[in-house]
Amino acid sequence: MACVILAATFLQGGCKKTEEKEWELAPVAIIWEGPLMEGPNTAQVAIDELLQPWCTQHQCTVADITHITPKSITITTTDSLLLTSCTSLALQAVSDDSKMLRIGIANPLVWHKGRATLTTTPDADLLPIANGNQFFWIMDANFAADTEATARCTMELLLTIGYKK
Amino acid sequence: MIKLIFTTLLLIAAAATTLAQAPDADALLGVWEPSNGKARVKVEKLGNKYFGKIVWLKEPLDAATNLPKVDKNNPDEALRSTPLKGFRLLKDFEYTTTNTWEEGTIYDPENGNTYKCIIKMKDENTLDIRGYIGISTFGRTDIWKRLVLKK
Repeated sequence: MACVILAATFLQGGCKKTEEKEWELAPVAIIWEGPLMEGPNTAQVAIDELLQPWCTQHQCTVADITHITPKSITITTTDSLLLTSCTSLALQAVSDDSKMLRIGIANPLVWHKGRATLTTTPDADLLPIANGNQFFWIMDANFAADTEATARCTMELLLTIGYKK
Repeated sequence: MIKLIFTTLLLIAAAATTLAQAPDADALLGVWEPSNGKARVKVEKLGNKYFGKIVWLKEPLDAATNLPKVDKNNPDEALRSTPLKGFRLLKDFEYTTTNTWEEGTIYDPENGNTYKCIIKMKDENTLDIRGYIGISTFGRTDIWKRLVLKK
């Protein structure tokens, strides 16, 4: 009987085909609280329950998701400190149950009308990090000089999500 | 009744231990200098784990290029443009037992190797950083000093 159930489960799973979709996350506000030091400064943002709403919308479960990879990372700001004094940015993600993962980097950081693009790490699979209750975006910014000010920007992430349908 | 009192006392003791552990775990936070004096590493808490990044280099410029040093020995070619200043070389440490942080790794930018690592706080201004491959018996310990000494 157990063999029959196992075979049925396998067949059911095997019949599902994997689809990929683009997934644009809600913009994330990133804040580096001053005072900031010359060199690297870190901002972190906690994200709760990222996958469940997407799964509900697409009528699947978290277990159906096969991978989540970064497609594009765009930073926008009007903050003069970031525009003039920040020389590089690096984005990572981490959770209590998984190792830190590099998602993207901009070195050197080049602004165009208040927008900058990070080069993504295409093989970085966010699934082990995002499938828990909470994870953190970690953004490192290198500043050219000490300052008392606080720096702010907005991060827009476009992901590729694969799931069994 | 005696059982109830005993259980209550145990619970109070457990709660007191938990409360006492939180500040100990954060004792790792701060800026530390490895024994070779070539860099300074700032330890931060990200989520509920501890990470250390390079915030100062004795020789910040690459002698060959005269540009800020990058992680040129990284085995992943795509990451070799990462600035060394700001590089996170201590990763994913969890406070496990008294004055000990484990489950993390240390990266050596001089050879591009990543090692398992155990951090032990000898006193509030001194760390034993033990990097190893496989089991901790086979490894090397470096002594790091806190940059701003606590009284």
